[in-house]
Amino acid sequence: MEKCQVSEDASVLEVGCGMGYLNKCHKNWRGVEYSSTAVRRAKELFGQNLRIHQGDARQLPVETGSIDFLFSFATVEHIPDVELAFEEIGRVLRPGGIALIAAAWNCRPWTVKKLQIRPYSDLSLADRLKKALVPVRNHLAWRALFILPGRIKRELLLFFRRECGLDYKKMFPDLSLNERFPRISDDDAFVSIDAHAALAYWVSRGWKSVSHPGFFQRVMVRGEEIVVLKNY
Amino acid sequence: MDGVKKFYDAVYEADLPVKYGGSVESFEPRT
Repeated sequence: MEKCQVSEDASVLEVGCGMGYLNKCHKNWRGVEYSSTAVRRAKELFGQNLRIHQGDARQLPVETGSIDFLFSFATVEHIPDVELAFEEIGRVLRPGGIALIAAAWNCRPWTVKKLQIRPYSDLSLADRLKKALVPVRNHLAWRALFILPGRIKRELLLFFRRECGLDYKKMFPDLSLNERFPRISDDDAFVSIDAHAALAYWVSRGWKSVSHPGFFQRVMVRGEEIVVLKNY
Repeated sequence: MDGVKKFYDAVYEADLPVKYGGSVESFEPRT
């Protein structure tokens, strides 16, 4: 909050707030959470007056241009059709408002199939091959080989002031696997999105990238949160 | 999307977010 210079009277929205553990971060905190169970439990934990609402990030129950500071932790990778959520962020933020998005960027496709922990005997031939290649595909050099061209392409679009669509890969988590295997981080992710794609999406719409202001910072972005400011 | 919502409802009902440290604490940035 301090880093983003969020004022005391700012309207603050957390998207995907879970059980509202961060509700005390600001006196004007409001949270939106997809799971109605989480909303109920949050109210049991923090009181019925907690300003938490059940809602879909792709159709936020929030007035247009009413939010000064929007943040979201570990949520966007769990939203199918995530571009709709990005549009909603743009809609609810007022001009001059700030969005801080901390996500599990570039979720690995093998994680939604839990290939890391499933035995080979449980896998199809194709998945066995994929499991064997996980150490290679997870290597930084290998990932850079596939991520950097996309980043350069988007930077060229930004250079020529063209609008960038939101690049991401859809994933299809098999939620039934949780009945047989332990949960692992982001085995329920629905999209794999590069932080650079998120930055380029907003920068190409005239927003200011506060966290990664220049070409070099944007191209080198890794797992950290991104902060963008909606221009007036 | 109903299946997805049911899944997350079950996760929260079973206290899984608490076991995993909640939505923020379980966040592991990719490097």
